[in-house]
Amino acid sequence: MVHVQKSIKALSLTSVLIALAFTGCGKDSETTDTGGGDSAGPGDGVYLELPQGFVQSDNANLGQFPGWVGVPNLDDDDEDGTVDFDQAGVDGDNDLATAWLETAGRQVELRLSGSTQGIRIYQNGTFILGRDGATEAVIEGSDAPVELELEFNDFLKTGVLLVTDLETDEEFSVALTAAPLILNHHLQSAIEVMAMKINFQGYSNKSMIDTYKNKLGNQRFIEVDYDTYDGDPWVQDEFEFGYMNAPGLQIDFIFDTLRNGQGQAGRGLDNFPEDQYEGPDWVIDWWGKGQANSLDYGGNLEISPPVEVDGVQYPYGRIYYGGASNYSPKQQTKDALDSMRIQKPFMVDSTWLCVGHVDEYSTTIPDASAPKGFRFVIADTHSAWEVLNGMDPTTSLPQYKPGGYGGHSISNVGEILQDNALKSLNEEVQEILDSEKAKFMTELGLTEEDIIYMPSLFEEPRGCGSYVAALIPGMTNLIVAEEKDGTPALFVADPFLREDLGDQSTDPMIAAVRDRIPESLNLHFVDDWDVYHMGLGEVHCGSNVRREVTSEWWVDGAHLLESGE
Amino acid sequence: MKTMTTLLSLILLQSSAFAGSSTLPTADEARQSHPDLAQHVAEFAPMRNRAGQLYIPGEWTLSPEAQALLLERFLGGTDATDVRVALAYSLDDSHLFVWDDIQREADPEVRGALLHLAKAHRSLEGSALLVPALGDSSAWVRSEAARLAGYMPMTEGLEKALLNGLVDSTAKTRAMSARSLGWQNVEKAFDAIVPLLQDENPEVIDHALRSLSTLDRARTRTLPAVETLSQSPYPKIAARAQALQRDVP
Repeated sequence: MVHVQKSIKALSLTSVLIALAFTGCGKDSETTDTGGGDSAGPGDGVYLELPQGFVQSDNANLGQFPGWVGVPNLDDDDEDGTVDFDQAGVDGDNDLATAWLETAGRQVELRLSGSTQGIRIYQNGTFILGRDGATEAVIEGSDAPVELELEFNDFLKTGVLLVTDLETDEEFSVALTAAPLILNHHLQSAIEVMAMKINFQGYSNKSMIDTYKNKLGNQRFIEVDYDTYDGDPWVQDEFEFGYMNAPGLQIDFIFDTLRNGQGQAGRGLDNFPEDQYEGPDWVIDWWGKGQANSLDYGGNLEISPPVEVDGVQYPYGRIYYGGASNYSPKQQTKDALDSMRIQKPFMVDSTWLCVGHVDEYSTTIPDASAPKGFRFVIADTHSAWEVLNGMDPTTSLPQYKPGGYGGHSISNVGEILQDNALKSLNEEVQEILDSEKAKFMTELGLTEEDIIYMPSLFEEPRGCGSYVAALIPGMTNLIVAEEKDGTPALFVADPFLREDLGDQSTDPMIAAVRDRIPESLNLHFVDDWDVYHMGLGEVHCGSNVRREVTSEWWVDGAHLLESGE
Repeated sequence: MKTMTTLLSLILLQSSAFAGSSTLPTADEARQSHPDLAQHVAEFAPMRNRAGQLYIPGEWTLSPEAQALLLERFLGGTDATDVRVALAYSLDDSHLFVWDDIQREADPEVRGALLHLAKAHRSLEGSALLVPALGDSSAWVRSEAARLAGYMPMTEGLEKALLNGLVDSTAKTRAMSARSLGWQNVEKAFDAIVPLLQDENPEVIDHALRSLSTLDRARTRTLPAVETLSQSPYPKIAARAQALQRDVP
């Protein structure tokens, strides 16, 4: 029969745990085998065995929200072009949540309520309750436990299954809950990193790509093809990785933003998510329609690591994006993210930036020694001036010297230090950074101890009017990923604040950053100048990361979902 | 279509930041010495930066030959406006156009891009360019000129143009004029900026308040409008006014 493989995996673990628990208590030596595993049941009554444990009339706690959890069955396991939920009983479908009903040999009635059109329940592979079907069913008594399977049509769909022993009239109810969409944060291990390799006419990111390959290994680095994707290097902006899961089940999700190759459907990176990931156990989707603005791009959508804010635990972090009251990501996107509740989104201001993305001035990095297990990194102009003031003003800056699109028309450190307009501009920027830092501290429950100030200077680049972008390559715009040996590492833009471009050890800005970053992290300063920096982006903008999932939201995140059940 | 007359009217100024500029070849010379580069410049399509604007990346744009050829393609005038803007921005600080040529460009975006060359140049010639630009028919060009004035050597003519900019019909120009006068520490602009504290546009008010604080913090604190602004519905303005009242720098 179908729907089996993942169910067995899930139950075998549960069964072991349950068996251990009951062995310890010395109970249930006379109960029958559940059939769902090797363990003994909780008695001779009717009960439902969930991956988390048993639910029965005198032990109904586990039936309360979130109860029996599953995933929105929105992928296409049989690859026939139709979402699995839209066709009941798909061959090869492995996204149904399994529970085992012990009938104790008696007739049992199941009654489904709630979002019945968004739920289906199967008995031994046969559809019995839910969408376009019945809301009541009677299960004949049997010696062996009955396999029940559950699927949903959307995130956070909820229902209730009332289980009644028709012989004793004893009953209990079980909440049914679909997983929310959860987006990944930087404390999740990197599975693979991707970026586009570019190398022609002196327009090259070879150094950055080589560093990725060397440190991550070829198997964990995906080289995005230049020709196929029209030389569109902004891999971070096109899509965002997430997932939906339940015990033993996982569907990976790609939020394929409305960027659509920077407004050219089918061009640029528009088709990359589909080309690379479309298939069983993947969902690639988006919200809203129409032309995106820059605030709708993936670089403007970030997720903090786990935080506690005003006594509320957010075990999967909080989503944040940039915008302002009159200019923000599309309402449909904001509404959809809000509706997931588990990573309660908040907005900070990014509209003072030419590109307008939060990843241009903030990020988070792992630090096991930190009170929260991570540090919040924010761009800081004071720190940059401090470094520059400590340098010899005559230090030439060959990387900055060219004009046009090659550099910043700055010959040496003295030219920066003597530029009163640049100082005034960065004083204004610092005011904004201070204001946004305060918002982050409030929304993420941060203290000063949690914050790392990344030396940064901004300028008004050509074509942006009074909006700013990084003058010194933006080092907050970094990638977090583990190296081949598992050591966590940061891939950061080389600031090139030195005469000898080939010798990073002589760069005081690099030294200053090394001093700030936890020693547990390997730091790799990569040359992103031509392809990214001069294009108003940096390392993070040009990369994307797929990450490991270790979520048990039904255990530690349900409190964030209960209000909307 | 631009003519060679226009090309000849281009001022090519030697810059300490780009020593090679004095030996910029003509496009014909560049074509003869670097035929592959010439073909590339004639055929390439700019890419999009992260903000979605066209730009022309790569070291290849930096050689004198490439600069000559990029300039020629810009002056050819056959590209779409956004490509011509990218071509203008690809020119290094050896280039500075005269106002007569800039104002002949029909598209304000192109005029704005050519003005931007003054920022890298940082010369009195660049400052002089901004004076007529502050009277341009396009609000975008005027606001860009007002903004760029903050980076340039200050002249009497530019001061006067910025003071006029404070009463411009567009908010962006008023805001940028106030900002530049503050950045340049033009103390005599204080009284002319004060009325902007009652502007209808919050960006103008914010820049005006900031500039006044720079020019004379003690006097700004005594302005009646500051009390009103401390209750502004715009948090940034209210915070700035309150900081002034508390005398927090």
